[in-house]
Amino acid sequence: MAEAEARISRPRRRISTIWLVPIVALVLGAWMVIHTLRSQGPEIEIVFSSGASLEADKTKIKFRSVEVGLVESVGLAENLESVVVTARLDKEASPLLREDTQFWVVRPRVGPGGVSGLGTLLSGGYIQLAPGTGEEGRRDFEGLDDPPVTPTGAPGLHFKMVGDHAGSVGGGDPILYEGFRVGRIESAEFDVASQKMHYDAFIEAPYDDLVTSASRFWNASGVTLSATADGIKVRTASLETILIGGVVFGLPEGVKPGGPVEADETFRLYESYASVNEQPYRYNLEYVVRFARSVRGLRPGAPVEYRGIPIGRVERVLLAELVSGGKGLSGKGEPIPVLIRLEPGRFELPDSEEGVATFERVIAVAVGNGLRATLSTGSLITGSLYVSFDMRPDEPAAEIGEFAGHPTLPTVGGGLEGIEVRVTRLLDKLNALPVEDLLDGVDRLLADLDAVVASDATQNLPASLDATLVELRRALDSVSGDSAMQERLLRTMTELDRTLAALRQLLQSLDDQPNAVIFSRDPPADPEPPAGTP
Amino acid sequence: MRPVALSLTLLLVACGGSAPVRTQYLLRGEAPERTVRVEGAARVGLSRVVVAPYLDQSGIVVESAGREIQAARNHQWAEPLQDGLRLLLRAELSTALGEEVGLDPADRSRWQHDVQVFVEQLHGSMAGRAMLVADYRIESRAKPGEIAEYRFARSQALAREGYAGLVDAEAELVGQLAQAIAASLREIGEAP
Repeated sequence: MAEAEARISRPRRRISTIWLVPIVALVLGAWMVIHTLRSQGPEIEIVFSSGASLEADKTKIKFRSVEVGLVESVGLAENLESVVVTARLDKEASPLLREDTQFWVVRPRVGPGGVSGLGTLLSGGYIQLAPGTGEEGRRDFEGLDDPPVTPTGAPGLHFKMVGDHAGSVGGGDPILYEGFRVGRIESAEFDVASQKMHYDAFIEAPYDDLVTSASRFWNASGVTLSATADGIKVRTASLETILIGGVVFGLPEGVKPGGPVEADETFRLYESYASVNEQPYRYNLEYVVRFARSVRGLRPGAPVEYRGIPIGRVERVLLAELVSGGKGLSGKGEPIPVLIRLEPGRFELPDSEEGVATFERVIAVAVGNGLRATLSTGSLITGSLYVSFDMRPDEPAAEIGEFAGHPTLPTVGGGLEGIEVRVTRLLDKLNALPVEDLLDGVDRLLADLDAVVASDATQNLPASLDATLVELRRALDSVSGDSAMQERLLRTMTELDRTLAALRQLLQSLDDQPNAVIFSRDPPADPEPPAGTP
Repeated sequence: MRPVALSLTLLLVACGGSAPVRTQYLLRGEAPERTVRVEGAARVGLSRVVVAPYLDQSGIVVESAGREIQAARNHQWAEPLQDGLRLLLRAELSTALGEEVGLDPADRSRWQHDVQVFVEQLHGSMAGRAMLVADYRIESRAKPGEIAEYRFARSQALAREGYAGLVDAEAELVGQLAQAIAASLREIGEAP
């Protein structure tokens, strides 16, 4: 018999489905948090000098006029000297945040270059983003007070310029080539230490190829007026440069284009085109020439010539270097050192570093062959001096030396020294002349001459002279080719010829017949011409 | 004595003999009626007459055969041919122009036209003809440096035989040369 098996069922504890609600809510919340976090862009901090036109949750950040972020907070920095703006950018805008990304506030501005930002009068200011080309990941930035003149990464040539005077050139001013705007001055600063103006400049591509090592930049502001024998010449760049200033670049007269220019190279900013042509070459060699005589009349800028050809200029007299150490003013006194600059470009060498190196070698060889410097007189009236070079192969051998860190070139005396000696000798001789006695003698001579001229004989001299000339003409006529004397002479000579011919005939007859004088022979009868027919 | 007398007789016989008879001729034309210009110096002058060297001798030249010239021994010019030619040419030219032609080279600077004649040939031939070939040139004072040059070449039959006929024919040729020179002067336009 089968035993019945009892089946006991116990009630199972089951989780209520109501718990699904909070779980789902939790999952959804987490998902939303994660999604929100993942969809948020980066938070950045920008430090501005002023918080003008900046408002939290209102001021936008734009790139190419597209909103890419929003200012979340605006607060003072800890040092209270700037404003810290916290902003959140869109996730898609993250690649724009690079090492050299720039921010500035766009607001209405009025400047020499024009009026900008008028659109923000109604909409309010916003922060403009200009992405750079550096590495990504930067989150802290220094905001610009003014919009950058040149966008970051713009193709072209960045370089620097140094000028003596600020003039009317400032940041944002145009740079012109042949009257066409090809670049701009990015910034201008006055350097207190060097007392010079320093400019950052930019030439846009493809015009950056126009800038070579031989290019010169000059201030084109205003109008240059020059009066010459050819008339009055007016030189202006453009109306824009006249009003707000600007810089023009080009080549000096007679200078060939140089080599390519590296970025951040420094050029000199000349005051005018005229000053460019005064010093047309950029590269030069500095030498010291020492003269054991007075250099009165030798001024900075005085020409340095080789046989009359300008090859450089005098820079300055090295007085400080002369007296340093006290040697310069001891004994008979050291020669006066004069710093000169020789320009290779004047020898049609390249106006570049290579040209300088070549010229340096040429000078070294020339010194060995007798190249010497002389202090010469440029004007006896003003006493101005200049440095003249010439070949003196007879001078003792010399070589390039060194003075105060500069190479020295050998010198010889001459020029004004020799002239002074000769002039002094001439003056001494003039002083020794008995001028008063000489003048008395001249007076007496003139009085005697007056008496002679006033005498009757002298007064009648022209008539006598005229008569003499008439006689002379007659005499000359009598011996001229057509004169009777000549005619008679010719007739006599002709007769003599005939006589000689007859004598020759007689001699020939005697030769044929020696006894012809005694025994004549019968000559042949003359031919008898007959009558003719008409 | 007899040998001496004989020698003298022989010498006299040897030196004796008839001397040749030489006839001299004067080159002149017919004596014309001369027209004398009264005012001032002559306008036209004959400064030079030059003959070829073979003519510069006293004997009258005859071309006996082709290119064979013979100067007559017994028929000679009475004066140098150059002088005779000059005088005859001046006379003929004065007649042709109707005014006196100057002859003194000293007056050359005052002449309007200076005529110079170069006689290359003037001789007779055994064919009974006389020949005159000459170049003449005229230099005008109004056109200094410009010289007009002409050539004259003609022959004339002898009207009678002998040297007298030859001289007459040559004088006739000289007269024709003067006519040619006068015509050339008229061509220039300055002569009357």
